[in-house]
Formats: sequence, structure tokens, C-alpha cells
Amino acid sequence: MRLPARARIYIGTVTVAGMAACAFAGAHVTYWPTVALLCGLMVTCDSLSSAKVRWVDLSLGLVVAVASFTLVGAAGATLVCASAALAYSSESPALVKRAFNFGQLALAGGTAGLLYEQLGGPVHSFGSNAFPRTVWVVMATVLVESIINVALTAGVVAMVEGLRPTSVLRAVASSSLSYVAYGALGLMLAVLWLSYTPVAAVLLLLPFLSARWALRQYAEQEKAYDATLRALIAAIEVKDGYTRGHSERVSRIATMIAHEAHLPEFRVDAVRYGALLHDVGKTGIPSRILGKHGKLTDEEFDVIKTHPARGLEMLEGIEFLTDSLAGVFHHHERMDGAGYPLGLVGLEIPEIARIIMVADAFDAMTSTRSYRPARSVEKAVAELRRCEGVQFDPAMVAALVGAVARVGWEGDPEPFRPAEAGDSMSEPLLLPQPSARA
Amino acid sequence: MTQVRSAATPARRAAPLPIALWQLLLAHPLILAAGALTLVAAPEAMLHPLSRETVVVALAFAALIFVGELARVALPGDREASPLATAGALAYALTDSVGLTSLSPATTVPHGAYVTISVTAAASLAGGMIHAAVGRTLRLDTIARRVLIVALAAALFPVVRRDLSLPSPQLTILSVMVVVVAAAGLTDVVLAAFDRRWRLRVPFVAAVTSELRLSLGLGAAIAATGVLIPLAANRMELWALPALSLPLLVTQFAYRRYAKIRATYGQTIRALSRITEVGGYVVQGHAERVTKLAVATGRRLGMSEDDLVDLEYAALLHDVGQLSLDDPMPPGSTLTVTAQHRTRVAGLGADIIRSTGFLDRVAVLVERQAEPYRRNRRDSDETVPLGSRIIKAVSAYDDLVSEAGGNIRGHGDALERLRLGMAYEYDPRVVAALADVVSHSLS
Repeated sequence: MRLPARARIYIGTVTVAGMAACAFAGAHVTYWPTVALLCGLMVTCDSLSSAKVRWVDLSLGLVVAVASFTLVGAAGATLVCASAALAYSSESPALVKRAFNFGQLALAGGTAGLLYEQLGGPVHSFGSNAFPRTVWVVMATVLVESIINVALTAGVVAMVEGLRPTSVLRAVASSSLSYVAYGALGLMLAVLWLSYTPVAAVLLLLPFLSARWALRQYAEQEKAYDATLRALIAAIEVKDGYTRGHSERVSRIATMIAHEAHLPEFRVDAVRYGALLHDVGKTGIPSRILGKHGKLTDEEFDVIKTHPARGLEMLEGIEFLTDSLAGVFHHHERMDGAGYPLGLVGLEIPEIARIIMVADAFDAMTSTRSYRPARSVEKAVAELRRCEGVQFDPAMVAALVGAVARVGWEGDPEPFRPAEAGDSMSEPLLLPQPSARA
Repeated sequence: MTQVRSAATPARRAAPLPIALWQLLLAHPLILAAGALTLVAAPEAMLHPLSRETVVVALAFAALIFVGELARVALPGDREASPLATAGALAYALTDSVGLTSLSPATTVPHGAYVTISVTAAASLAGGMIHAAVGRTLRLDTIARRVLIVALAAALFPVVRRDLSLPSPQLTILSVMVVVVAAAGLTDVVLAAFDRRWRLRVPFVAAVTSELRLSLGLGAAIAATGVLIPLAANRMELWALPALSLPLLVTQFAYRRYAKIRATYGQTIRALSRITEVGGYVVQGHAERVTKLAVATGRRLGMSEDDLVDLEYAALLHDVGQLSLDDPMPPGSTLTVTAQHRTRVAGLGADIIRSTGFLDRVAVLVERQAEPYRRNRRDSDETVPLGSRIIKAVSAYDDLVSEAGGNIRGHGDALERLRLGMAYEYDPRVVAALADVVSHSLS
């Protein structure tokens, strides 16, 4: 993709300005050995790519940056911050990306460093009454650096992809608590460095490296967990002769409905897993009943009706699925109370089950069965609309219609493929890589 | 909405160890040693009057150890660790020698190893009691190890201090602390291995290796924090305790998440293993019993913790291939059907497991579970993994015992049948370990 002209001018300006700042800073650096050590530490820390899981984001680079204000002053900090652009990255970003990062990091570091010195932050040694004043100075500096950092990066994203400035502000605000932590850690790093040699400072980073390792294991394990669940469900479906991929598709539709209905993220997860497993109890039912063509006798239908309870029994021990169990147990209830197993009425039926009911029916109608061809999405929606209030929750039918209108729906069964390891490793938040693609 | 909860009552936590408290107290050498040490230290600590500052410092560290013991994390293989408590205790031991210089001069008078040991033991026990009070297990073994290594660190510091000198005084003190803490950490690994040898009859060398691998990351974080707290306390006074606990808490949080997802994975595979049983293909509880015995046997044979997890999953899923059969085999029939048929089921199961894309090693174990460990006029076939050999023997054993109705004679008869099959089918090493595990659990 070719960058728009104004984006190229912007990137060029930032890069050149950053390089000029580095050259100017280089002439004023007083503690060269310390600067070199810090640059090495910075590159090492950022090369061990950051692991982000939910709200924990371990970006050690910022800790080193904060320490560099105190250890080597504004001039040194400019170089140390800019050196983060040299870090190894598994996706080997284009040269233009690296150049821009170098520029914006140098500008952010340099400006914040000057502010630090202006506010009277101690450089290279703590005076007798440096605390607690230094704490506030450091916090202000961290905030300013982060704002410049995010704003310069957002500039590129805005020009290339279109981005509202408010989302930049929100990004800064949402992670302000972690800035406080980074500031405190960086200050501690500086204290230990000055009092007890750089070795002590490296010891400070050890727990984070250990945490990062554990978080990586966690992310990998979570991925494996998801894939395992899906593959085993697929195997069970084959055995019991359901339509291939039914559970997988119901899970996808139910997740879409849940998003559309603005459920909180952890509820969406519960819906996803509940929908995936909603029919797992059918494994306990003899194949001759499940696969029977034509009308079922009352006895046979009674056996079929046991599958929600069997599913519940099977999954009960899994703590992680506790929130999903209601969906498995109640997915055959009806709004008018004529469903099973308990005959709950209306909003007595748990939300998650109301979602799965709609998703289940929608997929049953839009996929091919042995006795009839697949219906079109429009016909299926019309049928759901006809039964809403009696069988389905109108709110969930509306959410399904909204989601399908927005995202669309592929009726074709999508073959299962395991996700690739390492997908969920996101970029470090505090030293964002601009998504400028050359 | 009230019905929802009733439908989804969470399962109770299973008790990790069937060992009563008094048995641990009487029969566990580590707990005995730590208990004796504390009984000697406590009166000594009481005898000497302490300055007010010493008491303040002691209380601060006691609080840290107490909170750390409360916030413990589960590690693989029924282990519990309290990183913050151990780091706090080590830091307290080192503070004794390093001193808190910026407090009033009185505190530079060392509080003494007896006080260190007493405070560590008391704060840890208090935290442990809270665990016991809310129905979790009181892990006296981890507390005992903590007391012992803290005593070691306190004793070792002056010795290393005397013999080690580097050009700069800061570097010297730092090196001495690192050496002492590293020695304490290694001792902890050895003690933990000893503990597992004692309780689970794991071969010692295998136990040391798996403890080392498990505790490398977390141990480094603990050691670093233990060194840094006393150093930072020289500048930041007691603020160093909460400030330097922060990184370790992040570590602990990460390990907790990791432990949680591992547990979830295990629970899910366990639930899925029940599918073949609910479907009527296999005897009720077969997979669960085979897994328990297989893991105990594997542990007895010195398998690593990673291999044990693979073995656990493979044992749980060893009959999953039955799902792909049109006609399920009659329950408990592993022994009566032909070898080809067993091989086919194993292969189908392996295919299902392999389709997850993540459990390839487990798939191999399941795939080869039907193979004899050696063939006519050949040596033992080394390509058949130990895990497969274990599943083969244990699954046959469980079928035989179920057939006999599970009585004591049935156990003996079943083992005898396995021994008859040792020429080709069942690996003699595995049968011996299984017999040992079974006799241990029956007695």
C-alpha cells in the first residue's frame, strides 16, 4: 500500500526531527558508559516482546526510560528512548516504521527529559531531600512522555487509517494507573542503580521477566484449550450424526448476538462456550433415536428431552464453565413456557439460554439437513420473527438481525482449523508500533 | 432467574492429599526439623529484650510474610508456593545482617537469627491457619521448608561475608547476598525433592530435576526480591516492603493465571473423558481410575512433570477412539477383543486428539497404547513410549479388577494376570511399579 503524501511528509518530518534531537543530545551527554548500559538494557527489554493479558501489560521499556531521566538527564534519555526502535521484533517491521519509531521515541524522550530537568528532578545523584518531590516530578514526566508518544503514533494511524483523536485520549487515560506503576518502578531502578551498581537494577527486572514467561505460557495454554475443546466437540458430532459443524456455527452466531446485545466481555465468553457445548448431552442418547427419520414416539421424545440434563451432568466439574451451564441446561425452554426441561417462562429463562435458543434455531434453518435443503437467511429471519415472544426472546431475535445485517452470515460450514500459537500476543501499549504499511 | 443458580452449582474442590495432620507432623522429617528449630528459637528470642525499632521492623516483615502466605499460588503437580512469604522471610534474614541504616542507629543492632526464625514460623503459621479455617489445606510442608531455608540464610551470611571481598563495598554486599539467597534457593529445591520422595515415592534425581525446572522462573523472582528489599530499605526504610512486593505480585498474578488455565484444561479433558462413559461405551469411572493409577505409576518411575501431564491427558482420553466406531465394543473388553481391533481404536483416538493441533505428544501415547512392549525374539521396542506402556498395563489391570468386582483378591489376581503377560505385552518395569503403587494404596 502506498502512503498518502501528507503521511509521508509527516513521517519524514518526525524522523528528521528525532535524528536532529539525537545529534544535539549526543553532543551534550555527560555519562556515556551509563547511557550505553541503559541503551543495552532498553533494547534487551523490548526485544523480549511484551506479553499482554487483559489489564496487565508488561512494557519494561518504559521503566528503563523513566530511570534514564534520573540517571543520565535529558540528553542521555533522548538516546536511551530512541534506542528502543532498534529492538528485535519477530515481525521485522519495515525500515520506514523503525525510522519513524526512532524519531518519535527520541522526540518524546527528549521533551520529557527537558521537562524533568525544568521541574528540578535530580540527575545522577539524589540530594539529601530529593524525596518525595522527585516522585511527583517523575510521575509528571512519565505522563508527558506517554502522551507525546501516543499522540505522534496516533498521527500516523489517523492519516493512514482514519482515527478519532478522542480514542487517543482514551488510550492514555485508560492506562494512567499503569503509568504510575511504571514511574514508581523506574524511580526504584534509578535508586538501586545509583546506590548498588547496575546489577541490583537488573535484579529488579527479574520478577517481570518471570511474569512475562508465565503470561506467555498462559496465552499458549489458553489457545490450546480452545482448540482442544473445538476438536473434541467436532469428533462427538461426527459420532452422533448431527449436521457437521453445528455446534461451532451456533457458537459463532451466539457470540455475534451476545456482542450485538452489548453483554460484558466475560458474559460473551460464557455464551461462546455454552453454545459450543449446548448439545454435548446428546452423546448419551442412542444413535437409533437421534438419527431416526420420521416421527418420534413419546417415549423416544422423552429420551431426547434428557440431553440438557446429561450435558449439565457432564460439564458440572469444570469451574471455568460455571457461567455457561445455564445455557446448556435451558437451551430448549420456550418463552411461552412450553419448553423443557423446566418449562420456564419469559425472562425466567437465563439470558445465555435465550441467546443459544435463537442461534440454535437459526443455524438449524440455514443449514442443509438430510430431509430438506437449507433455507435462506431472509426466510430464517422471517420464521424467527414469526415465533418471537412465543418461542424466542424478541430482543435476541433483534440482536441477531442486527448482527447479521452488520457482519453478514456465511452459512457454509467452515472447516475447523487450530489457531496459530502466538496470536494473542499484542503489541506493547506504551511504545506503539505505528501501523503504517509501506 | 433463581433457577439458574440451582442448575449450575459449582463443584466442590477436591481434597489434594489424603494425609491427616497428625500423620504429617509425626512422619515428616522436614516438618519435624523445622518444628524443633522453632521450639529452640522461640524461647531464645523471648529471652532477649528487643528495642522498639526492632519490634516495628519485625512486625512489618511478619505482616509481609503473613499476607504472602495468604496469597499462595498453585503450581503443577499438587504444589503450593507462597512467593511473597518466602521472599519476605529471606529479606528479613538478610536485613538482620545488612541493617536498616537510615532508621535510628538502634536498629542497626542485629535482631538475631532466633528472632528471624521465630517471626517467619509464627507469621507463616498464622497465614496457614487462615487457610485451614476457610477449609483449604494447611501446607505445613511448604512452611517447614521456608523456616529451614531462612535459618540457613541467617547462618550462612556471616560466613560468606567473611570470605568474600570485592573491590567495591556495594558490589561485595550485593554478591554476598546473591550467593546466600542462591544457596537458600537450591536448598529449597533439594528439600522439596526430598519431600516428594517422602510422600509420593518419586525417585530423588527425577524429583530434583523437576523441582529445578519448575522453580527456576519463580525462584529467580523470589530471590531477586529477597535481595532487593534489604538494599532498598536502606534508602526507603520500610516503604521498601510494599514497593518491592509489587513486581513479585505481578509475577504471582501471572503464575496464578497460568495455573488456572492449566487446571481448567485438566478439568475439561476429564469431563470429556466421561463422554465415552455416558455414551455407554466404557465402564463408569474407568478413565478416571486408570488416570489416577497411571500418573502414580509414572511418578514412581521418575517421569518428568511435563511427561506426567501428557500421561494424564492420554490416560483420560485413551478410549476416545470408541467414538468413531459404529458399534461400540462391550464395556471392559480391552482384553477380549483382537489386537487389530485394539490397535484400530487406539489409532482412531489418536486421530481425534491430533486434530486439536496442540496435543501431538498425547496423541502418540494414545496411538501406541495397544502395542506390546516387545515382539517375538526382539529386545524391548524402545519406540513404544513409557506412557503408552503404562496406559496399556493400567487399563488392563482396571478391566480385570472391575470384572472381579473390585475386591482385594481381584487386585492380586489382576496383578498376577499382568505378570503372566510380561513376556511380550506388559513391560515388567511398569508392572513392578504398578504393583508397588497398588500395594501402597491398599495397605
